[in-house]
Amino acid sequence: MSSYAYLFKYIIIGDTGVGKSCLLLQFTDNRFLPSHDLTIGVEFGARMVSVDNKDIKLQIWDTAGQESFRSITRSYYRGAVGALLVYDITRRDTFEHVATWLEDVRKHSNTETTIILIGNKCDLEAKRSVSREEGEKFASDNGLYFIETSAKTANNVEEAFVQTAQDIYEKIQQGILVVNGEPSGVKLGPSQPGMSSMPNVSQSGSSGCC
Amino acid sequence: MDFFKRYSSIGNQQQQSASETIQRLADRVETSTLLEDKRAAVLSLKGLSREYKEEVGDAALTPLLNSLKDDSEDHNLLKAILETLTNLCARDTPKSDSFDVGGATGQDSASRFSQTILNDSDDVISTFLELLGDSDFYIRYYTVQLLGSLHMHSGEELQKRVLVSPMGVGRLVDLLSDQRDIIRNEGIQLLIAMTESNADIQKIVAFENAFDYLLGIVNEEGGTRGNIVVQDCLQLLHNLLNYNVSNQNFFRETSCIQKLPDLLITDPSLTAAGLNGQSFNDNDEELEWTVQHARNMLVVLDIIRMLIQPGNTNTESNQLAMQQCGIIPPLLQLALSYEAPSSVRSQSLYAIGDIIRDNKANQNLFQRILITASVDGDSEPSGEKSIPEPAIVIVIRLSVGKRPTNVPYNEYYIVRAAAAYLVQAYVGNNPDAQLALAATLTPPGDASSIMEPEKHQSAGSLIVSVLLDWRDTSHEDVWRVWYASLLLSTILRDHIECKEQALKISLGDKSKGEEPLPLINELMSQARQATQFGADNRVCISLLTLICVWLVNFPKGVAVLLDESSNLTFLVEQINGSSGVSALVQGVAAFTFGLLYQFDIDADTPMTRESIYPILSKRVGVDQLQIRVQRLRDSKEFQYAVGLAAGTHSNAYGGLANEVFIDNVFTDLFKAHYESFRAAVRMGPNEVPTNPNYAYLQGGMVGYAGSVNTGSAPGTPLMGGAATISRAESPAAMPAALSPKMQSSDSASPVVSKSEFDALNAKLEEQSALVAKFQQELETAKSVDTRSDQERQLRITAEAERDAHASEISQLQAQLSELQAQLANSQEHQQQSETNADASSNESARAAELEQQLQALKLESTKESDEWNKQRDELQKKLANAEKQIVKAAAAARNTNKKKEQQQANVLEELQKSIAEKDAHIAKLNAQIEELSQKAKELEQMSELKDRLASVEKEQEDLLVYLADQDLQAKEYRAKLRAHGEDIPLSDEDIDGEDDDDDDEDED
Repeated sequence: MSSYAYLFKYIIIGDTGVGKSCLLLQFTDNRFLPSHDLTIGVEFGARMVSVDNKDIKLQIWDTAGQESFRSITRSYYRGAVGALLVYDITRRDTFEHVATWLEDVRKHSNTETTIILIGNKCDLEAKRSVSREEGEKFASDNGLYFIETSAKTANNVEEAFVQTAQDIYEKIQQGILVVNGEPSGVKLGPSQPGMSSMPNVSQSGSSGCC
Repeated sequence: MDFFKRYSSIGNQQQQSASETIQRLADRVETSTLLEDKRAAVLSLKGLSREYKEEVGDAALTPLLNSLKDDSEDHNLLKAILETLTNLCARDTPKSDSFDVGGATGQDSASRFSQTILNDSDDVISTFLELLGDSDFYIRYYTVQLLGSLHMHSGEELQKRVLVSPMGVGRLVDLLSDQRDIIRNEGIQLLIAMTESNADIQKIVAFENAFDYLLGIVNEEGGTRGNIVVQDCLQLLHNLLNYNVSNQNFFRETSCIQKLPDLLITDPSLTAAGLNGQSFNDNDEELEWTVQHARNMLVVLDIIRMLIQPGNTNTESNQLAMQQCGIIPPLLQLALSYEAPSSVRSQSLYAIGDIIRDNKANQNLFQRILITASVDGDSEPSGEKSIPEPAIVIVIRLSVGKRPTNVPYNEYYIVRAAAAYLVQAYVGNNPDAQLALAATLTPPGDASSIMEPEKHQSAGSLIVSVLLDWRDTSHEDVWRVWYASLLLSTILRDHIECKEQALKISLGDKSKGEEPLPLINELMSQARQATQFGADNRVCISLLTLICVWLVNFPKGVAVLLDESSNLTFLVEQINGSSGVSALVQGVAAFTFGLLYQFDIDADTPMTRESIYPILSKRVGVDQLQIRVQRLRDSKEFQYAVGLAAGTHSNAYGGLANEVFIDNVFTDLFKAHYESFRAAVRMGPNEVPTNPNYAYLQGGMVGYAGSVNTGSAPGTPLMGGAATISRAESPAAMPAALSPKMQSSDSASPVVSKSEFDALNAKLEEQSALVAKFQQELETAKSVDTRSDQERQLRITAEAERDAHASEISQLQAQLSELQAQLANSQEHQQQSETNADASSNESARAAELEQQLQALKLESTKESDEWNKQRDELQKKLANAEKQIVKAAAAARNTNKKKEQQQANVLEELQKSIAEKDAHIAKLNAQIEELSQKAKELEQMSELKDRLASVEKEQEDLLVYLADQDLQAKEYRAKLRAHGEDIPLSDEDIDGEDDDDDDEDED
């Protein structure tokens, strides 16, 4: 059920209301809730992806965007190996805050942490106020991956998570990231534990009861 | 130390000079530029900080904190400061009670200093957290201690401060991997304190991989057999998961559930890389259960149960994960372990119950588990190899069987309660399991069962035998019969088939001339004996509550019970008894009596309601019966049982044995049935509640009432009290009920209004439009495809349907127009009559006549309008019908379309498939043909070759003949020559040479 080659820890950060929780929900449950409650503190989600034919377990911490939770959410930066920095393409201010967020991540996380910039809500083309080019430029200026997604239509959501995983995987292959290092968001999967079968207490195939 | 010596001489004199000294030392700490001076002053303060806590704190706290921040390079100085601070903030261990006042002020000052530190404007807490990262043992050690003290004084404040620091919690978790046990253990303590209620910290601690660290430490320390550190780790784990859904998810997603089974295994040789296949250790006496082991195990069990609380959203996935990682076998092992403390056995049973509760798959898997282990060490003679038994039988035996001799019965009660919980979890929402258990209900068999009452009995016969032998068993342990009743109630509740199955059981050996006695009567008689012999009230109560559960909605059972007249007598005695009868027994007896009366509706009943009624109304009295039942409901024992079933009592072990008299199956039944019961006993014998349930009960229709476990039984009739119609009255009541409606209709004006007709018309039009639409749809559907026969048939039926509808609709339309005509007619009539009436006022002579006419007309019109009403109703009905049919037709049409499409697709697919197949076949055939032609060619060549061979052979033969001739000739020649006297040797070469020559000649 749960064998995997690697385990990566992600965080999702960005201003409040940009759709962080919706991205996670779309990724883990293939669902979209138009009205999502504000995230309190941090919520956890998980899913398996496949990179280079290897199963990789993603553990994702979805953080609250509100300023009041900032100090709590910072505690998660250090342990994460992937960071999804999200803004809302229909709200310019959320894009303008990206620089502050980036500074925050860079300050508190490991240098090897893979950061991807995500312009969410790309289904709302009519209300767009941040152009794709602007996002791309900011990303390339700062050495980030860039992708535009829609948690509502699921467009590019999978790609955002998988691309990040791909980059982390390559870093491991190149030896830039140390698996099970301290403190790192990368761990090896568990060795399959042998079923601890108890003698004298057996589950017989034939229905023997009553 | 120089400073200390210099000042100490002064400090020794008085209190006054001590504070002076301390003040000076504090000044030193603050102002010294030389690190050495500073260090010496701090060391002096440290020395004084225990004895003069208050003074040192008041004077030196701020300088010390400042120095801590400024001089972080000097390890010795840091150590001394931290130790001093630790002393200042430490909660005093009460050395002697004589200094109560001093102790209190000491406490106050420690708390005051803690507050000062926490309120430090420069956020000294983050400095502490950084110091936690220092590798020096003492620095870490004192910092952890200091943080621990601060947390003790104002935990919330410290938690806030720690959360503000991004690395804070991480640093704390790092302590868990410290190689120095002392620091690690201090860290665990601090984390336990900090995670008690703060969900944010809980989550970050989990995020920082605390689960792995903690489980790692537990394993290092020997698993649950380890010391108190193991308990602390498990406690911290418990804190992290308690009430924290996010962390529970995380726990599952990091495969931590898979690590739980190993923690449950008590024999170290069986853990981890354990020796699979090795038979279970019977002589594990060296593995005694220590108090610590039990404590550790209980925390593990608590964690397991926390993850699968009934009703939680994650419960199902956690149940699945647990089942898949094989947690049930070790849990069973624990539950059956004779040596384990009752609390551990009990919690293990509860845990299994929670794993299978409301989970069909896990219930089914549990059903298949077989166990060969001996249950109770002393009850089975060694050497006799036991047969594998279903786990459920063994669990039932735990609940109602003998207890180990060394466990007092009130302690073993918790194991029985837990086993019963597990049985209920297995049977709950699982009618198949109920039926399976009911099928094993058999009388306890022959005499041998007395000798060996517990071995190799089926689940059902075990329960029955305990119920019947209560005089032996309850003497030793009243809970045996009590739980046997509960389990049988559990098997029978809300399940008609099970009730019937159980009703078939009768006791008494026919071959010995004994009258067979149905089990239900035997139980009633046992209840009577229990009161006569003055047994624990629980025996009588549990038997009667079992009978109640059995009788509800089960008239057949009532009939059987009424067959024995002493049963009613016994109940009446109990209800009427004024002294020496427990209120609980009275209440339950009254409830039983009421049920007997309520459900005495079986056609074959030996005692009709009419004959019970006098007993109810005269000998008992309906009010008295009600009061007895009310008193039962209001008793503290009943309320306790209700609370226990609802989980409002915090007791985790099935309640306090002393308080438990009534079981949850009965309280559920009581709550669901109480209102109906109250109404039923107030009814006369000929009154029958108007409820369809009764009809089906009387008709003897059998079907089990679906779900169990819920509060209200589905089979329970609902009676609103007033909803009864007396059988005798009913025909007379009918017209009376209808008459007001007739009177209310205005006799002059027709009820069917034009607008209504129009509406009807519109509806009809709508319908016909719909039909047309369907027709169209069908048409298009028709045009889609004309191939398959089946389709055509379907289309034909659909068309027929449509035609039928159309004709029906046209009929309706005709009727409607007829009605419309009638309406017009009647309106005319009316107008006429009205004008007539007007005229009559002028001609008084014709007035009476006219009036009569008018009356007649009015009557007519009333009749007509009634007629119309009826017709209208009919029409509406028909319309509704038509509508329904049209909807059906539409659905059918849609279906046909779909089917057609599918069929087409199927046909196409099939065709394509067959084509592909044929293609393949043809290709194959071609290949074969080619092969064959090749072969033919080969064969041709062969025959040619053969011909040639034959000719060659013939030639050869000819040659041979020729050669033979030649030979002969040669011989002749030689003979002739010899005869002529020539000497010729008989050499082959010569002959050969001659042959060769011949050949050559031949070929030429």
